[in-house]
Amino acid sequence: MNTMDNCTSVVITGAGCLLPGCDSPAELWQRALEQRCATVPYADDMVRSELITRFGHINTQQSAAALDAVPFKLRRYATAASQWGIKATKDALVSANLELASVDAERVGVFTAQADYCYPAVQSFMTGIRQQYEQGELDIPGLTHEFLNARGMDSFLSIKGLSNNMLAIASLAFGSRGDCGAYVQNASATLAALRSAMISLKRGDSDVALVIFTGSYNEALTLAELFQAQQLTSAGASNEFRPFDQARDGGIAGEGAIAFVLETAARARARSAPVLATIDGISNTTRFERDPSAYRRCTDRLLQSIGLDLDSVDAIVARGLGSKDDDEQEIQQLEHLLVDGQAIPVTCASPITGLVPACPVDLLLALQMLQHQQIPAIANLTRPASTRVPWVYRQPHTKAIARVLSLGRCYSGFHSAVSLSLPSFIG
Amino acid sequence: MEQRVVVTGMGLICGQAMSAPALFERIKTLQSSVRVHPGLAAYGVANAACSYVDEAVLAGLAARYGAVASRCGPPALLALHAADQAVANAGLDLATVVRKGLFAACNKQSMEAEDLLVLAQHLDPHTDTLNLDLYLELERHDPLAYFHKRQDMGALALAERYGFDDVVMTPGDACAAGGISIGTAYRYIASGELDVALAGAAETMCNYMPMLSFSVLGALAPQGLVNPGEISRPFDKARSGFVMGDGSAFLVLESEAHARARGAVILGYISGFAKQTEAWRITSSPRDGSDYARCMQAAIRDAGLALDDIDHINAHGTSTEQNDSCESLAIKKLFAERTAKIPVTSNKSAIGHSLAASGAIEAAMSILSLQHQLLLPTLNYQEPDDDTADIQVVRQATPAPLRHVLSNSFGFGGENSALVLSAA
Repeated sequence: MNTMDNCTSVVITGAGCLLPGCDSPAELWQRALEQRCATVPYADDMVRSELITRFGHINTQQSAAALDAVPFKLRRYATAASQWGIKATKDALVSANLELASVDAERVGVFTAQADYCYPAVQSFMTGIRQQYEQGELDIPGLTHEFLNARGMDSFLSIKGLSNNMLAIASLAFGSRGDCGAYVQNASATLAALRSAMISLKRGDSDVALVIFTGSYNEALTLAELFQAQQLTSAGASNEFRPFDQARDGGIAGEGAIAFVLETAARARARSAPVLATIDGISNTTRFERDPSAYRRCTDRLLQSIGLDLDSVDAIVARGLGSKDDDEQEIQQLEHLLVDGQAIPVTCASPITGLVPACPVDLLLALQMLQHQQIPAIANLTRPASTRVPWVYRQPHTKAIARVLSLGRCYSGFHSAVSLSLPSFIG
Repeated sequence: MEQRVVVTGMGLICGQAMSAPALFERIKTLQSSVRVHPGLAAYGVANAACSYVDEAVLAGLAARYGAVASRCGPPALLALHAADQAVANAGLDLATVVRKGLFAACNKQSMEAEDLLVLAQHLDPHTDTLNLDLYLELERHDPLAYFHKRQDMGALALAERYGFDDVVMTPGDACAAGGISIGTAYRYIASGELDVALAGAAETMCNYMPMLSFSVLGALAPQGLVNPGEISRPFDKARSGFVMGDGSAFLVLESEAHARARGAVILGYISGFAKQTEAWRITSSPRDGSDYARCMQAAIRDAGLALDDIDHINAHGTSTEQNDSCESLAIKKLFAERTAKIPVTSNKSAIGHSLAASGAIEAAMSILSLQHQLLLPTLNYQEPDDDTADIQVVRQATPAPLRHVLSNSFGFGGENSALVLSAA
């Protein structure tokens, strides 16, 4: 693959986000520079836990702003994550200086990556469960009766549970009637949405592509299972998210949304759009088992397809899941990638927002690094677990940055590499 | 230059059929796969009739696929079975192909009824709060359960099995996902990005949560006292909703040049594809069928064909009041007086609606119709209503000269797709 993905003519002209503690990419950048983490003690109206210590929450004010961004008639159908996605997309369009009304609705593509953990959740069934409690012991036939016959469940659950809820809400909110694609589940969805948007633009199926990423880990079973799998930092431990640190003891889950406006470079030039970065290429690999060469393989394939080598990369954003085992694997993969001694500074965005499913926070940070020509230090990293990786820690690093490699991995064994470069590299 | 895209392999599994030819034969002989699901009936689900894959079949697949099965969940098992068949049918060693991609749609792996019951037992009904810590302390957990819920596990399992190492994606476009999976793969090959794709979908929706969710929305057909096999009746005046289904189908797609170079048997062509959003309403499409017609027309245009070239429509045909009305009006709007000459069928009459999987299964049935030059019947169709009148619904298996078939998949949320499949 990659001949099309990497022919450097798709550019990002707008970016928006609604992330923990960050209402805009600029706020993410400021927090990253200052190493100010936005994760907070876990709090949920319906779930009590002291074992789940911290979370990257979208706060009440942010949620209210997101709801305001959604047309009234769509609010009852839109999940919270889809509401965040609409807010992020509106901001991305402003950033792109683009009035969608000026584009033929059938030429606007929408591509979404949705992390689909929150529906169905026990919250959707609270009424029926309460009603059956009032009658005595719980059992499944009794619950079924309450759900089906006594308005005991969210009657819009099948719509909120759609894997294309974000796409449906976005196409309605923005009036887009063009090419489309809704992808699940996590990092693989992120890459698929980006790839499909790029293909659509390249083939001429769309003039503008809205790429929307959204998701949350805040669902009881999901949190319980992540906790039990020792992916989350626990009570009594450091209580901080310390990716790549010797003292790391787990990640912090989070939630949020990111949106990009993509166009061909030619179209962006024609309308004098602000070009934030060129997407040089995308590559990924899938492995259930430990694979120290996963990053190397993705990166080599990506860079070879655009006729470059690792020396052309000025900075790397790594994922940093934060658990002992996952970070050990990622460190091995980074060491393997940099085996020839390349001193490419490595940073990481995850401690700032927590781990936000399906959202390329690392890519958004890479975009900011290109714009600001600076590499933020990894928050909470004081004693790196490897001396063979040139981590950026304690202080930001300033250097000329023309190309950033964003590397990603998730719990399931999906690894990815995306290369962004400065607009001057177009063509 | 655009590459022609061919189908060289197909595999399938659904309720009561373990392969594409087996399902083709069942539908040809008017056999429905819809039965009352005993587990769902025992849980008190009123309309428990569905086209489910038996537990024994799933257990057999789990035994066959071993460790992968334990971490990937039921849709992945169906996907592995269907994909293995497709790859064997294509006679292709995927390990020898460098430029290959995997497109494996799946909408949902749901929470089980038992999971909900256990969670409910940790709820405080007075405060409406769940004590998660007590739940963690008292309940046994499968450490892999988190992964079982992920829709992309089928894609990951297939990627591992066949060495897909770059383009791997999981479309989740509701009822249109299977068609979109195949259509997206078609685009990658047509535009020269890939030589080979394994494309399809898997879905296991005949379980508690989906049945409840679609039931309260009023989309599922009520069971009543009718024979389960008669409930799904697309385009019929007495239709009352859709019937849920499990299933998976995968196609091996190749550029024609790649297939011919290796001497592959070409089963058919993917000639055209369109996918679009409606921006109309989240719960319904324009009543006049205009957006369905727009999508069908775009696919035919993409194939470089004229309306007169379409010989048959494999309809979305869900058996819901609204879909079948809109689709009928769309066909009449687009094809005008030719409507009377275009036979239309709905495979969902026999196997229910397996959401993501349906578009892939129907693409496989369309290819077999083209190969056998045979129209498959729509079960239970007896009498049209005002909207479905004039649609030429096929009632018996009928030989017919077929060059091009249009296969529609229209998704909840206003996301539509159409494929044009052509004879080899």
